[in-house]
Amino acid sequence: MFNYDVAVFLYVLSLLILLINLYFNKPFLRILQMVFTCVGVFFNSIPVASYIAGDVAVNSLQNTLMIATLSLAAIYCVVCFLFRKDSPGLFILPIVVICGMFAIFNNSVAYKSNINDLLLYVHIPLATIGASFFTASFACGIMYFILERELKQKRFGKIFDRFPPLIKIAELSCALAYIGFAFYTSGLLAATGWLRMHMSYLTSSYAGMQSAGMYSADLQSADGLTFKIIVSVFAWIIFAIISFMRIKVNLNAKQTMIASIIGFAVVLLMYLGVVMFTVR
Amino acid sequence: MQLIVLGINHKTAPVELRERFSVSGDQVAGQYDYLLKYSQSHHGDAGGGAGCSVEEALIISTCNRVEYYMLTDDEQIPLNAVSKFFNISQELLRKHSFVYVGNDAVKHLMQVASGIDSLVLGEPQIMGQVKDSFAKARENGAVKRFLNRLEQSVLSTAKKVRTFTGISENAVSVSYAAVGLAKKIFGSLEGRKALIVGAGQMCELAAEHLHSSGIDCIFITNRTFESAVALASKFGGKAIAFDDFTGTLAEVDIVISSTGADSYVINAGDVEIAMKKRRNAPIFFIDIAVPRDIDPNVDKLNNVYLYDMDDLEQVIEKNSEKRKSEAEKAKLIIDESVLKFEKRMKIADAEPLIVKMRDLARMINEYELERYCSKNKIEDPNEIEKIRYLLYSASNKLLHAPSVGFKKLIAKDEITEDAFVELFDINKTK
Repeated sequence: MFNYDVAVFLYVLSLLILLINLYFNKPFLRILQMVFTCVGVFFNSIPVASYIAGDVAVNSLQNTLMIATLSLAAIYCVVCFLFRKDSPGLFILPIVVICGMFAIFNNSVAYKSNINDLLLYVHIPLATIGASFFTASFACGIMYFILERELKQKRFGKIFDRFPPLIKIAELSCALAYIGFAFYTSGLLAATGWLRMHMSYLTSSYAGMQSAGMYSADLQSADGLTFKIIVSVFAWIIFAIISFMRIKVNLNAKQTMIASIIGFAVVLLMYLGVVMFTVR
Repeated sequence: MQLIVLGINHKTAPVELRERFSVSGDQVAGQYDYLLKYSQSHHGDAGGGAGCSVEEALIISTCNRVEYYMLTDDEQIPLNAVSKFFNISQELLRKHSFVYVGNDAVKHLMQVASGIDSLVLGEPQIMGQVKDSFAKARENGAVKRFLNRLEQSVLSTAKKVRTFTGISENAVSVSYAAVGLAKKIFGSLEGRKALIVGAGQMCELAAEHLHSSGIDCIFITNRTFESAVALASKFGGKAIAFDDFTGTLAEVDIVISSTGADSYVINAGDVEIAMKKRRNAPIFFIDIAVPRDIDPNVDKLNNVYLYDMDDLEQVIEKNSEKRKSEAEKAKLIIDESVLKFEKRMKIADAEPLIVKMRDLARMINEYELERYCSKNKIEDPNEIEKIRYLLYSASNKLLHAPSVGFKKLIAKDEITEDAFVELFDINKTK
């Protein structure tokens, strides 16, 4: 956990510098902030790499949040590099920091049981990375509406100066949603395969499951599974509709942004569902 | 010898007077010839006689300034020479000009090249103009050691100012600010289409900025179709008839309007129809006409962004403030460069003394070698060469430290040239 603690500390520092630089607007502070974030990504990737390598079980909320913070921070670095603007950090970094803190103070222990197999190991990172992209897309949606409001009200202040161009924000949000959708779909496919393999266990009685060698944690997990499946599929449908409409119906930037925000709300609901019903 | 500048610019003289000093391309050679041959006695009489003369010269002539840089001993020379050349009274010239001497003149030239002294603060063209002026001066044989070194320092300082400050980053003209605002919505303008309503000067400037920003296509419409065609051909655009230009609104992303019409030429209804056709893709309107060309209700439509002159002025004012604050940073860079140049020139001035010192050492070596060989009857050339080698290596090693030390100390003003001459007895021996 030491590496991850360092990563979160660096994310916190990065966020603080970003906030301070809102006032000072100094290039060296911008560079420093980016360096902290990039180094944070490096430290964050060490525990995640060890989980993915299969050393430790990946199925605790703590591990999932580690993957989420890593992917979100990495997305932020790429976005900053593309636009030479740090303003997306105002929306992405707080989420990274909150998830990071939650991961550090959440003492759930990853466990291994009979139903933990490769498909589950594939499902969790893919779905988490997909959700991270949706979150970044949502952050861009919020940025779009803020900048649009500034432009409409003819205010040429700090937001006007520091945000990327309006249409670029919309394009970025859309691209993030597409990439997220690809990851998320792959994650759901892996989950479907996993469910099919273990359906007989999960639908049997507790006594049956216990006799099949399942742990009590799996049994609790099975309770919330129905809710999780419903919300996950619903989130997938929402983003599928957005992607379809964006391509076929040619949604304009504003409509796409609204759709991204709705999509994120569903993803958030899914997370809450996972946390409230299935977290061990 | 010191650098002296006499200048007339937009701050010191009205345009009527500046016109009289403007130097056309053909006149430049004659003017350099006049300045370099100019010489005066201490009573101020021009021409021919023995007295102070101009060693090197540089003339910078742009639409807002004419400046004469001269390397000379007499501060009166620039005033006398210029007033005589243009046949203008010295009183009038003195009243409408400025004179800087030495480091102040160097500093002024650096400020000019960096755009700090320009009418539009931070304008980028001036650096190229200064570079061209040096090239012309060189062609006319007016650039020697001093101005050659000054050119390097001035141009590198101007580049440094542009790289490390934002002095030329924010738009301060209406047309440029309009294009800057469009970029704030669309990012790059590549692949975008624009419509310009009108063919006046403002429209031409806007078209120029759009064209240089890489816009895909420019449509131009005007009541006088021929003017639209002329402007369109200049920027590779397409002229369209004024009667049905509203049909083009569905195709374009940027509309810039500046006509002399008394009523609106683009109504909210036209834009509403266009927005349906373009599936609400964002469109950006700039109305730089007074009275306005575009119905203000257009701004109430979704995905439509309308800006008028007041909005642009707000942007320009803000940008001017930013440039002013960047100019303060630029001044610090220039001050530092002036000091560096001064040090460099002091070291350069010291170099002839070091050469003299080494010449003196060479003379002494040869004298002592000859004396020693004749006294000891050494005639073998190989033997003589060995002794010479020994002498020269010893004296070179001995003189290396004083040479380097002298350069360092003279740059810091911790030693005078006289002291060095006295120490090594350079002149006396010579």
